[in-house]
Amino acid sequence: MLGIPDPWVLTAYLLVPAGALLCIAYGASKWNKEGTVTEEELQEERTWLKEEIEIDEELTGEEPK
Amino acid sequence: MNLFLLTVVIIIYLAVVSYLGYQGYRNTKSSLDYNVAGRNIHPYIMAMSYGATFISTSAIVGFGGTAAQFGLSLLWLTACNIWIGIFIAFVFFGKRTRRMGLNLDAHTFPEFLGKRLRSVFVQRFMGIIIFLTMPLYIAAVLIGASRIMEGLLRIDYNLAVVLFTILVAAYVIFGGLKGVMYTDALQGSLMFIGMVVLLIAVYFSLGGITPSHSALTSLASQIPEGLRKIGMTGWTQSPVPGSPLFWILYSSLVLGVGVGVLAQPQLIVRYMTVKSNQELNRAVIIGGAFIMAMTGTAFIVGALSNVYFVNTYGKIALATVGGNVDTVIPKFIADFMPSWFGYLFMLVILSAAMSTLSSQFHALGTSIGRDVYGTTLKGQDKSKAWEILVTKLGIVIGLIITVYLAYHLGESVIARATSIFFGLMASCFLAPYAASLYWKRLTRKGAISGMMAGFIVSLFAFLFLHISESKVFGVAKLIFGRDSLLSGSAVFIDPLVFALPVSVATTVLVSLLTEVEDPEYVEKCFKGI
Repeated sequence: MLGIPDPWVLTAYLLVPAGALLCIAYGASKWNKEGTVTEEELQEERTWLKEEIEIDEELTGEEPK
Repeated sequence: MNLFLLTVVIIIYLAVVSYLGYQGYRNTKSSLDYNVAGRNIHPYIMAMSYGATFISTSAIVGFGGTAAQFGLSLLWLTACNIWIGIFIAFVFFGKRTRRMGLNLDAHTFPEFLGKRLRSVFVQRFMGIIIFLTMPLYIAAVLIGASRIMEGLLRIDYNLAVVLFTILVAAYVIFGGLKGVMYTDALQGSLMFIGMVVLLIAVYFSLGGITPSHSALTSLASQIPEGLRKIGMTGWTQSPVPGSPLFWILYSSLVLGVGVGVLAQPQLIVRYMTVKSNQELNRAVIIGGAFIMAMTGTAFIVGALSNVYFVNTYGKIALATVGGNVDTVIPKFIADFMPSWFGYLFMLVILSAAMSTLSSQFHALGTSIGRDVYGTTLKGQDKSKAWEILVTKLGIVIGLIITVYLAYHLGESVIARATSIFFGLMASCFLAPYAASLYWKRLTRKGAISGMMAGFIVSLFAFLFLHISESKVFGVAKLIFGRDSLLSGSAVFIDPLVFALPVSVATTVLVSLLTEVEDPEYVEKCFKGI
């Protein structure tokens, strides 16, 4: 099949698009799920991001303000 | 290839990338002022950033060349890249890492485990291991990019290394580590287009999917004697089970990199940039398609380049390039594709290299600056200026080691260097990391023991068992009078095969034998999970 005589190698070849399809099916089926974010989480995110920006600035040699 | 035109194209490309990075950085920063949800990264950007960081010149040039040598069996690695590197990584590791990372306010992989386990030792130990070994992987990426420059521009390899290093240094110095996710998204998109064009062109020119594979199958009689001896039976056939090639292919390349991806410091931080699991779910779609187009194309094209080289030069790929597998893809692109594609591919390669390098240097800098030096400042008057200095110094030292390695590692080395790094990360950190996410019964002592066990077994295997490294180090020969304590094909079994199970067993056993240090704190870590 597909010019690949070894079933073991053929399996790998087919698992590649199969995996991509699985990813697409999973993402599509969960498209609108698990999107709720609490106010507390938002606040934690802001703290997290502030520090993340500081790290980026440190890496480029700026003293964080 | 017209050097002037290429220089203009590269300058425009770098200008666009830098502008995008700066804008992305500014947007992120201003989002704080407007009280917008912080980690509001679009799933497309997150997935592309993860993908572009994951896939580098090592995967395209190094592993593509390895596929030219060993054949389509390497597609098992692509399958692992998608099933493990994307699906399992995002769904089973990503979601929990995102939530727990937020609970712990963690920004690096060492910090994540260090805070989860309430252990500064863990954070420092991980920081040191990452700092010391990351240059090997950075070198693999640098060598891949330099080989492409050598092949497409027909310049000396040593000059290519210098030119690319200058490019990287300039990128890092002029703020290239800021807003990387936005530039990653552009770079990932370029990589996607370039690789899809390449795959279609190759299949089309060789007469379609089945005829091209059949032509590859028919080349089995041309397998070099050296490869036949170690177990190769064909480019569309798996190696003889238990043969040296079987272990090299499946234990080092497929397992090492395929599983090792789960414990990559520069990838784990990407999960924390999205605001909810919904974004991760959506990112799975892009990630799966992206990886298929990346390593899928690289390995198929790499293997099929043999058909092209035999038709054109009467010799297989390896023979055409004189034995250095790292130069197969550059030679193939230069010969096979029209020159306009050479320009596009140069951008693809620049993108693949830059997106990975920026994250590698980010991980390298933070590992020494934040995770090692930063943790010594606790309770003292925190001088950020010193931390910045250590971070910058760390990046400079890392760059110097990388360039040294790029000159001295030799030929056909990209895939090996990458798999050593990936395997080592998994051997040391995967068990404690997975347990941290899923097992409240994990104890600090259990995690540290698992980490140390994985590290010690890996080190032992590199010095005394796995012949590719033990022969170079020479310690086994000095003490025992032989290159490896194992014999036969077993000398090719990757250290990961020994180290990971030992690390898992140690983590579980020691945890079960000890008490959870602070159950209340563990509950806090798992809040919202």
